[in-house]
Amino acid sequence: MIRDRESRGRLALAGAAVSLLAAALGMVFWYAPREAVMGEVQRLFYFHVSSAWVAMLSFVVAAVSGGLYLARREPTWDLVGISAVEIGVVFGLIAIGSGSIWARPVWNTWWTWDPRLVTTSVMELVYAAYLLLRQGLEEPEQRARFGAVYAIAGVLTVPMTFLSIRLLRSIHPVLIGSGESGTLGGFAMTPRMLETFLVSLLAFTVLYGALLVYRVHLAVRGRGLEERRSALFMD
Amino acid sequence: MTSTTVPDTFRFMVAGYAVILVGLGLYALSLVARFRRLKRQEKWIDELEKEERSKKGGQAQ
Amino acid sequence: MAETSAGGLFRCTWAVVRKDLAAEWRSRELLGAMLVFALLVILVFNFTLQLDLPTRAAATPGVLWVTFAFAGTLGLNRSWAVERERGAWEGLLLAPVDRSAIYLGKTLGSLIFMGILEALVLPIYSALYNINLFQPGLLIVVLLGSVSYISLGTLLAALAIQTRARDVLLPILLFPVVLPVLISAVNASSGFLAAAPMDQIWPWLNLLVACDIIFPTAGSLLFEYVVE
Repeated sequence: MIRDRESRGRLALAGAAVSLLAAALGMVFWYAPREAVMGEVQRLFYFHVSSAWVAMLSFVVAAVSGGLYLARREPTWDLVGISAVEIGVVFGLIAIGSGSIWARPVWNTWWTWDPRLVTTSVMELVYAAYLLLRQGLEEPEQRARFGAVYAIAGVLTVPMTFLSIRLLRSIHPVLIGSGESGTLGGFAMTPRMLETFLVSLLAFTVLYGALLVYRVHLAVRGRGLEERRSALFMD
Repeated sequence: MTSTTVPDTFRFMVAGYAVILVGLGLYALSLVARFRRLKRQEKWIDELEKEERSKKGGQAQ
Repeated sequence: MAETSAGGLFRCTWAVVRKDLAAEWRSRELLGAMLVFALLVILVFNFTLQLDLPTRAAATPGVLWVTFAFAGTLGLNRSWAVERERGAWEGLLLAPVDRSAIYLGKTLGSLIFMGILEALVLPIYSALYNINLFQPGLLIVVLLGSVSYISLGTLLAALAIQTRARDVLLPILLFPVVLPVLISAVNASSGFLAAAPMDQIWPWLNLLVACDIIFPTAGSLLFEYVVE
């Protein structure tokens, strides 16, 4: 049965995600060296950046599936869009939270106007606005259509936001606690660090894939349920 | 050359990883909970549909 | 037969603009509201920030652009709300006109209103704070920034008024997305006011021009999906 094959595929993806995550965690704590200037907190780098990467990736996925929905009008694309936004919000919060905790001992502040941190926060706000927009609409078709338009508008703005803030930082390099005009927690990466980072990135990407696949499946089945329910109560 | 000791930022690392892993864990758990709810509702609809069909079958006779 | 030629597009766009300008000229509610709102924002900034003279000069670009951004939402919301109130919404959509013409017309109309607002606010601000805001550089930045702001705003306002929350949603939708425009506009304005060397200002102007190309284009392409 196809259904079994799909769910076995999902399970396999989930298994891969968990194993890679475990491997990455192992590398983070036992393989990667301790950084000399910042100490242990630097180890947050691997998962912090990976989370931010996933949040941005999900943003792009939401916009692309929005575009596909507008072009093809297949409801599944809309379900992918809302799933991508939901997961993106979660990973974005994780990225911002871990970034803030990292900033505290390093820059003696809970927040830094680092281009990537600010861009991620702005992206979170766009995500939140997306969710509010959908909430304010009753017709599912309108929700899908408007969501798609806003996701596309949002994705266009993210690189512009990043460029503008990075430009700001390069012109005003001396901000709170920042000795270098570089981004948050600049440090030199040794080969072991690079390897750990790449594994973390891979682990998070696969994890993202697994979560997305499950979330979309949930949405699709939920929609099927709704259709059955309305068919039943129409009589 | 000044000798600098590595600062003790262990607590922050732990806090950061707690945020990351708890965050991921909570989201995964929310998915599990939502799937369970879905399955329950599907079973309920299955029952309702069976009732409807048997009702219709009865009427047809 | 839908008008799809370039000349037709231009004529339709202009028709939409004329309609809105004429309607506003008769009632003049919108401009009045925007102007009063803008002045109130400036007043609130003045009393809550309590800035000394040099700081105030440095804060001017920020205060100006925040004022424009907030007052601008009034105009953007009105621009679509008016159609819905008077029942012209369906009429507008049924017209055999390229959707882009409606979008461009609305955008141009709102841009003109924004321009009028800016033309009133700038001299008032200059007088109140004894700062000369009528430098060509600054005026160009105001124009460039307004184009991106209004083109994004027109698209998103059309989205917002079709929701349950209506106007309230516009700032929420608009501000995160329009942020790079505001950052660039504030920094470019600041550069001109401080008579900074041009090579410091160019990157900001470039960003503004890039936004001015991307956002109106995206707006006109996406608009038809908003008003199906």
